[in-house]
Amino acid sequence: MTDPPRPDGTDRDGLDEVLVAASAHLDGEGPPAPRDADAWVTAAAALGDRLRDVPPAPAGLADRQVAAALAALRSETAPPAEREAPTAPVVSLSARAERRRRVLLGAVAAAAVVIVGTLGVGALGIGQDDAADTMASRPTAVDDTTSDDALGGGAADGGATAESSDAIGPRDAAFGADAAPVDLGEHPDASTVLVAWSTSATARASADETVTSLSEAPASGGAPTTSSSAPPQAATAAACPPVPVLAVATVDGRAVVVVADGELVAVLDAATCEQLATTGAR
Amino acid sequence: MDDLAPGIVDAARQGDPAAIEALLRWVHPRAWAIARRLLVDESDAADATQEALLAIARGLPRFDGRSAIGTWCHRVATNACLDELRRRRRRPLPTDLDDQPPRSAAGPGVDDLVGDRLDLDAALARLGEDHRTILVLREVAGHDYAEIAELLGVPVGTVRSRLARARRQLLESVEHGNSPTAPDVQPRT
Repeated sequence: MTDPPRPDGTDRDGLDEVLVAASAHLDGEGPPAPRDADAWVTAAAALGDRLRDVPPAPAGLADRQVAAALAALRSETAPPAEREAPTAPVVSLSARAERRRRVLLGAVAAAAVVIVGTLGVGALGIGQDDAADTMASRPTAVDDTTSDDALGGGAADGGATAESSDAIGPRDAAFGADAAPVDLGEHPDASTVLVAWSTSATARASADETVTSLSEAPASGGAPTTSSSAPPQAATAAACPPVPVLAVATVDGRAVVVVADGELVAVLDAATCEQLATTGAR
Repeated sequence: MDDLAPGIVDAARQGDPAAIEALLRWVHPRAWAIARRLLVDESDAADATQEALLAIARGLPRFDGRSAIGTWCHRVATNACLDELRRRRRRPLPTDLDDQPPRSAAGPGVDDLVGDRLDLDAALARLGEDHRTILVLREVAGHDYAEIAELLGVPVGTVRSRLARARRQLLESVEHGNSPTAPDVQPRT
């Protein structure tokens, strides 16, 4: 709402009505201002000129961004058969988007490795209960997982691509549903939470790989932190969709959760479910 | 907003790729200007510009021609920037803008132009987000008060007073607060 004028002609910030009138007149939105505002109007007009003298975009940015927009449009309007193989520019929208994409692919690859590790450890755990059954079922479980083209490609050599990440997405969510949320601690902003989660997932994936590479699982204890001992967890706020929570953290004292939804990994405000950051290419 | 060849908009609305490309190339510097001033940071501006181009390309079939194509594109670009601002509200603006390079003593030159731009960037960064937004929407995007009011969801009177306040603060900030830039107006009695 407009600040009510005060008896001395100024508002609560000391802004004189004459100045408001002069500013409006400068924009062609009011009658001529009093002459004693002429100097200010001249200065404000010069400032407007400086504001419009915008530094040019970096060389080549326009070409890249127009090409990326056209490629994205093509991929969205193409028949489904063509849509399955998007062209590279779709995911190379900008430097920042490219960084996000790298984080996403790293996180997805790490998650895929964790799936392999979790399934492997799970099979080994079952083996402790029923050794004979486990010996029969374990190879099947692992084979089923690793025979998945996308998962195998992303986990085995870390060379997950944008195309394969689409296939990995649901498994990424499944990983979140099975794993206990990791407490990532305090962070200055949501983007660093994502980085921390990615790093954490990679570390846990490495630990799991070590376990699954052993011929025998430990008899007791020493279970990897990503084993499915904790019940599935969902975002706690009522407004949040029931997506698996991968990790929890605080940003500026505000509780946030890291969630997986298809191919996206996002940081949400735990209280409002507002999306604060995402690793997914938009 | 001109220089767009006749027929481009209609062809673009019908999905002609060459026309869409021509339109996006025409829009890019305008969207960049709004984003660069509103977001200050170049990377953020690049992201918002990209989002604006995508939104324009996707929204073309829905453009009904009731407003000029330039106005519509500005509106889309502005919304992309406002979205970017909302997404990144919790991230502080770059603070190294105050670490300005030494100004050349040899008179106006490239160094001075760069220095002037850094001065303005730093002053813009110091401006409150509300004030920066309204100033850029008016001065760079060229929206009138009614359009700004609609975009920001505030009354026109608020646009009017907030814009005056933004100008005053930016003028004072550019001058580093050393010299008052507001008119020497005697309070009315």
